Amino acid sequence: MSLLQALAYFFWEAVRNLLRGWRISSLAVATTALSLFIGGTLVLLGTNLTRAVDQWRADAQVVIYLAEDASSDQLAALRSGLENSSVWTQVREVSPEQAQIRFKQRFPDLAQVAGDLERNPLPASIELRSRGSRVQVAAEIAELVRQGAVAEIDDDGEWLEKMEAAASVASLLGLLIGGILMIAAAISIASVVRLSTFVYRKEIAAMRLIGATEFFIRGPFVVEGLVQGVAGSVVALAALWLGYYGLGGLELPWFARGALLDFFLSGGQTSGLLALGGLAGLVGGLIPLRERTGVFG
Amino acid sequence: MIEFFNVSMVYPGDKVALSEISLRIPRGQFVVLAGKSGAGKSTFLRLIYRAEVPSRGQILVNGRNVASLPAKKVPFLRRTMGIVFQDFSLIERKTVFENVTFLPHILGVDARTRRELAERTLKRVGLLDHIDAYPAELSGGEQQRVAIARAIVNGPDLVLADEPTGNLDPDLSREIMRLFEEIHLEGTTIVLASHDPEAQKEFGQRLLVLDHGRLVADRPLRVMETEAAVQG
Ligand SMILES: Nc1ncnc2c1ncn2[C@@H]1O[C@H](COP(=O)(O)OP(=O)(O)O)[C@@H](O)[C@H]1O
Ligand SMILES: [Mg+2]
Repeated sequence: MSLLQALAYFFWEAVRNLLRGWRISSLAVATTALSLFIGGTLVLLGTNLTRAVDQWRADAQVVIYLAEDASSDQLAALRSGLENSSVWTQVREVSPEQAQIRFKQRFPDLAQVAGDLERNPLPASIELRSRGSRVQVAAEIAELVRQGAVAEIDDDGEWLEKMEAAASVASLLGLLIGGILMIAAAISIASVVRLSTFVYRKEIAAMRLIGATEFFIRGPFVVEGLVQGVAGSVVALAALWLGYYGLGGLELPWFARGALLDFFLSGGQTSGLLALGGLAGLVGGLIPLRERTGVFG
Repeated sequence: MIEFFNVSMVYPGDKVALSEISLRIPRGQFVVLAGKSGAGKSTFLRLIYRAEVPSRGQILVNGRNVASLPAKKVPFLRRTMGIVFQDFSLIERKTVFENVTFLPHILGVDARTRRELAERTLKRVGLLDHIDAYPAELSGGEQQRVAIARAIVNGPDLVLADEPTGNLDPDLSREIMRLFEEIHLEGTTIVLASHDPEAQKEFGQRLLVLDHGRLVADRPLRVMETEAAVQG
């Protein structure tokens, strides 16, 4: 028998074994699927968060609200400081009047309220975009605060940094939890395959007597594990996909949409998930063949 | 041809199963191995198909030193022989067809040729009607005939049988023994272990008697009528 024929034979033998014991094999498939689903969800979340943060970072600004009592000397010093710094790629002044117009455009419902006020409550500000690293930006901001003309500084980078950390944590947790759960999956697949070898131990003995090599005797059991692992990852992928598009149909706030639904798993991540399931199955299929249960050792 | 040179087998726990056996079984002989339960018959056969390695001595099967055969080569040794057991040892989840052609299948024989092979072999054992049945659907005598078909499907030089009629009633036993007789007449060497005195009376050319692991008798059995007819 050629290798390809042998693999086909292993596959059909494995499928036959699995269908015979479908109740317990579907349990192992479900364990694998659940493990990969949990891990996959976290990785998906992490990936989307990372991408969202990257996009938000492009729009991120540092806004300096100027103190009302700032002297013109102070303001001049501030302006020249900003112009001469290499960190800022954009320095745009927004007068209180401009701020009010923008406010009315952005929140038309509140425009009436703002118009009724006697005095414009919005302060003058300077909107900055940065190029430097977070450390450089933070140092510049600290320097700005020390000069008196600044009432308040609103730095988008601060919460972006937190989101970024959350994204890494989600991805890392996904890999970690997924990894641990994959061990559980491999163990449960191993117990299915172990049971199979036990149920068929007399037939295994008979095959040996006929002159079957260990390759032919063990092959179907390894493939039995592999099939369960891959089946588990297919189920997990389907569940992730359903969850992803199910959520997509819901009304979600823009940031949740960005964090969850920007992007489904990449081709690489999908193959990775399949490979992980296959690996768990392969390991699960090989474990019983190396044990001294009397069937193989 | 099988040769034993001073073969002893001691199982763990100092259980002596065979001691100092030397003999020669020429090609084409039908040997009946007799002796009480525990005399060492199964051990004798197990040494030939290398399920055990002798504690002392050498065993040659068709010129191959079985005792020193590496484990990896054991399947290839067994492919040159057919083995039949008291409990039939069929593969329960496979049909009669699949059981009989299991070895040809893993050797890469295509499905059509396997079918022809199975039909030809099952015809010889009178089971063609049951080619697609599962072992559980057959009687004991039928299952043993499947096992015999499986043993001879590859045209082996040597057939080993360990109490093949042990689970069958006398009429069926005679049928099975006649089947071995036919296989022998085609030139196959047969070593058949049996504690059944009936088997020793009517079949075989040579009787070996074991007692507590010793060879206590080795004598020719009368030439059978069937064989005499063929030779005449
Ligand atoms: N695996 C084994 N371990 C220990 N003792 C064994 C084993 N197999 C057989 N024996 C012992 O060896 C002796 C011969 O056994 P066996 O060859 O099976 O005899 P028979 O087939 O003639 O009944 C018996 O006393 C039996 O108890
Ligand atoms: Mg015995």
